[in-house]
Amino acid sequence: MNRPDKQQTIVVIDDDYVMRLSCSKILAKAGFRVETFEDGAQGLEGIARLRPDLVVVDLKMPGISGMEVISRTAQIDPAIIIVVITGYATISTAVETIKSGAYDFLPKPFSPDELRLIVDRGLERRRLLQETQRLEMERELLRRRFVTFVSHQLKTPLVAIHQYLDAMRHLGDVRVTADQRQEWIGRCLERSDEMLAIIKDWLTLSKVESGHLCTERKRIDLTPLIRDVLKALAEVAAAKGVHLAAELPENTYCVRGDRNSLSVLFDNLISNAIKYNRPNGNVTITGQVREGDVTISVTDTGIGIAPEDQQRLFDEFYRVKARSSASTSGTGLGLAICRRIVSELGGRIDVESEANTGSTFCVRLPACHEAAAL
Amino acid sequence: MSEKRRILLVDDDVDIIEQFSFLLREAGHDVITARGEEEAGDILESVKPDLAIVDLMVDHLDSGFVLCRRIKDLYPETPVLIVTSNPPEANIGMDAATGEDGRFVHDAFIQKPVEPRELVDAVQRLLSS
Repeated sequence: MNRPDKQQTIVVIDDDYVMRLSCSKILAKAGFRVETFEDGAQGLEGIARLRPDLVVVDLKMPGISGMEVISRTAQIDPAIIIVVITGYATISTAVETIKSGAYDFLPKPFSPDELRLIVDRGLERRRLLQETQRLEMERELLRRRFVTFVSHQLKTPLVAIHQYLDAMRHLGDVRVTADQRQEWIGRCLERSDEMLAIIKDWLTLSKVESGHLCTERKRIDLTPLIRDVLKALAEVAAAKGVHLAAELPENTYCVRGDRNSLSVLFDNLISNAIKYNRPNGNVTITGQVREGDVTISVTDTGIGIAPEDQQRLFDEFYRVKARSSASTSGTGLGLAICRRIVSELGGRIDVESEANTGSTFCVRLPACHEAAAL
Repeated sequence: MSEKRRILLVDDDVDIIEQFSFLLREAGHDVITARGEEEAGDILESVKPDLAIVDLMVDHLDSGFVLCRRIKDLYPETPVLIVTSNPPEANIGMDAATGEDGRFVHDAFIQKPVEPRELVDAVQRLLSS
C-alpha cells in the first residue's frame, strides 16, 4: 500500500485497557503514530490537539459516549476518519454511527488483520477526500484567475478604441487631420473585430465544453469536409501567397463525429497554418489510417514553435510570444477549441515542430468502419 | 524656450502606443516607444529618459514593476508613471513596487482609458516637479 511520507497519526479511545494496548501495538507495528485515551473527554481534547488522520473509538464508554465523540470530531475536522469498535454490534447501531459521520464499523472481537485492513481503507478514503478537495481548490483558483484574464482580454481592445474616440472628440479637426482620423477609425474597427472574434471563440469553447457543439455522431468522410474548409480559406491564403495542398482520397478518412465541430476544428488548424506561415509558404494536408485511427496532419512552413511553447500551446489564451515586431492577431483560443473538440470525439491532437522549418499538427480520431449510408 | 523633454513609453498594445505618443508629441515632447520590458531595457542602456510611462499587464504584473525598479536604479531622478487598465483591486503586489530602500518605484499611477488632457497634465506635473 502506498503510504504518504509523513507518519500518520491515529487516536484510539476506549475505556478498556487491554483494548487500548492491543490496538496501539497492532497499529504502531504497522508504522503509525498512536495515541490512546481512556474516555471521550480526554479523547476529544487529544483529537483537537493532535489533529489525527484517523480515530478508533469504542461506542460504549462511561461519560461522553462514542456517538458524541463521532459528532464532535466531525465538528473539529470533518476530514478525520472515524472507525467505530463495539461489542454490541447491531445493524441499527451501525447505521446510526455511520449516519452521524463514522467511516466504518468493526465489531469486537476482531483480529489484528481486520483492524489493519479497516484502518488502511479508512486512510485511503481520507487521501482520496483530500485529493478531491485539493483539485477543487485548484480548479476554483484557476476559474477565478480565468475570469480576470478573460475580462482583461476583452478590455484591452476596448481601451484602445476608447483612446482613439476620446482623442478624436477632444482634439478637433485642426489637430487631427482627415487622413489621421481615417486611419484611427480603421484601427477602431480592427480592434472591435478583435473583440468580436474573442467573444465568438469564447462562445464556441463554452459550447464544446458544455457538450452543445459535438452533438452528433455520424459517419463523416473528412475529405470533402476538409475540401470545403480549404475552399472557404482560399482567399485568405491567396492574400498571403500561401499555397494550399491536400492529398486526400475520398472514402478513406472516415470518422464518427459531428460535421459542425469537425469543420471548426479543421478551419482553426488550417487558418493557423496560413496565418503563421511565411509569405509564399505551403500548407500541406495529409492523411493516414493506422491501428483503427485516422490521422490528419496539417503542416506549415512557418517559423516553428519552441519546445517550451509546445507544451502550453493548447491552453486557453496562451499566445506564443512574437519574436518579430510584426504582431499577428489571434484570440488565443483557437487551439484550446481544437483540443476540446478532439477530446470530445475521443481522439487526440499533437504538435511537432522544427525551428525555421515549420510545424505539423496531427489530429488522431478513431476510424469509422461503417459503410457509407446510401 | 525649454529643451524638448524625452519620454520613454512602454506598452504592449500598438494602439495605446499610437495614441499616447501622438498626444505627447502633440504636447511638444520627444517620445521613444518600446513594446515590452526587453525592448525598454535595451533603450535604457543608451538613453536616459526625463520620464518613463510603463504599462502594467495583468499576467505580467511583476515584470512591469521589475522594469520600474530598473529605471529607478539606473536613473533615480527619472519619474515613473504607471498606466494600467487593471481595476485598482487587481493590482495586488503593489507592495512589490517598493524597492530595497522601501521607496516606491513609481511616482504616479493612472488608469486606462485616460482622457487626453489628463494624460498630458499628469506628464507635465511629473516633468516639472
